[in-house]
Amino acid sequence: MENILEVNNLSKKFKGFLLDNVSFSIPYGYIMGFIGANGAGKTTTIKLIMDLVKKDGGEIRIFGRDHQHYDREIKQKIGFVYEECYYYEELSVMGMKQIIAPFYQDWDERIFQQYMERFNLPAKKKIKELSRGMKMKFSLAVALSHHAGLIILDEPTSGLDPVFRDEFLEILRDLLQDESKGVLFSTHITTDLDKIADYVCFIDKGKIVFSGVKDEILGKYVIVKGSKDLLTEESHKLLIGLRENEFGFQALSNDAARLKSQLGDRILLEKADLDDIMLYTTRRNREDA
Amino acid sequence: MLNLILKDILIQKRTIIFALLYGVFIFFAFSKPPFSQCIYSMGAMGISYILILTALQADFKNNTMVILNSLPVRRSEIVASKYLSMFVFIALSLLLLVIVGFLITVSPLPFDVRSLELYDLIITLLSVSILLSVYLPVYFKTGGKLVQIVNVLFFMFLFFIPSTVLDYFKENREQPVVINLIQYFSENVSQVYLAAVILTFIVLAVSFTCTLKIYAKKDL
Repeated sequence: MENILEVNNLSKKFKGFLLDNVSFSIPYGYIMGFIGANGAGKTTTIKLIMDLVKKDGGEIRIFGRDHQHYDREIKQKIGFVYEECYYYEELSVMGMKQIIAPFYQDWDERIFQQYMERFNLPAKKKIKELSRGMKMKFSLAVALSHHAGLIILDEPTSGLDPVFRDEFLEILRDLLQDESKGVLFSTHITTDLDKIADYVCFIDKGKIVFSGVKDEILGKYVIVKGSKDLLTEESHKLLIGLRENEFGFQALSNDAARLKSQLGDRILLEKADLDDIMLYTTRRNREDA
Repeated sequence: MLNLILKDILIQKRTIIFALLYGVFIFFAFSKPPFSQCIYSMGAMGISYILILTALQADFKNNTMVILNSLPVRRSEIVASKYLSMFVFIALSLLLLVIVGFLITVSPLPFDVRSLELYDLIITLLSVSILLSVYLPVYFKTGGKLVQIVNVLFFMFLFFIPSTVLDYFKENREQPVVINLIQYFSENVSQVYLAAVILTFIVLAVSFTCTLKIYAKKDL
């Protein structure tokens, strides 16, 4: 399966932060959810992919080509939406579009106008007068109006109301009908991903915890509950983010079969969702630190 | 590249109106000698500086550089466009002043305005280039943080240096150094102009190379 985006052993060191050997890939035709707590390294990774931040080591290939060597050709085909609004605040929505559009060979004014209408965007309003959600919609309209292959979204839903969030996810799903496209979607609201993501990549403290097919990952992780006297030295190794209280323990595990064989039927296993996985794992890593 | 330069003009339609007013003001403020000698260069310097600065501030204020760098353009193009737009802004401001000057001449206002001379262009080019050559590396390095200091220095430069130099020449007009200098200048006008232009391009080239290096490695 060919990949639209491939990140291999990517590393970047900042003062007080290390992005450590990050690797993941997205095949053509799929959406990858990129999850992690605030400050885990999601935005840094995205900035590295966009070459806004210069990598220290590793390799990034987009559409099968090196992202620095073919930067212009690649960026022609990338649609991006960032968490922050970096547009010229004094310009109107149309004014800003007029500046951006000529940079793209495949700018499609018809599509842009369709989105303007669909999102109820006021053409003459200044960017600074737009609400956060409106700014996001404008960014999205720009990102989708030049026939981009890879769409990179950094926390796009954080400023959106639930109604538009749903519509937004719908748009992404429609987009992926075209199998020559791909989406990287960073978020800390994991419920967005329940609906649309095919792949999930989880980053914590600059390291990839896992990356793969969402359903396989969800199938692997369980929440374990039980009374404290069941806990053995050995079982500790299988438990992630263990919490104990006077009634019992709770933890995450990615090896239900072995836990069962060790602890027997007296433990309670529940399906874990992405939020649980993120929460317990982040907790463990914090305790390790 | 052209898109980037065009963008610098498009984002500051309102500044251009302000620059126009500044142009009118300068004709009234500096209508008498010795200032009328440098009316075009001082005016053009001020206007190009306002335009260049506004364009730069707009790019750095909201971190719009992040957007620009996400578009299909190279960093080297972003840097080069800033140096090239300087020429556009100088041309624009001189054009603006010529128009204002012409309007004043044909108007019934009680003073005359001389026409634009080659040396106006050269003085403007030299002074704006030198300032920008200091300014741009600082801008691209610090993201616009240290520029306040450069700003203050510039305005001191704009207001004190020309008058200081003029005063010095006036007070020391009997000194042999000054006499020789003036004589050399007036006898070798074209060489002096040529030297000024060459100096301008050397300064710009050095600055451009530095800025390119700084910006190529910069994390946004």
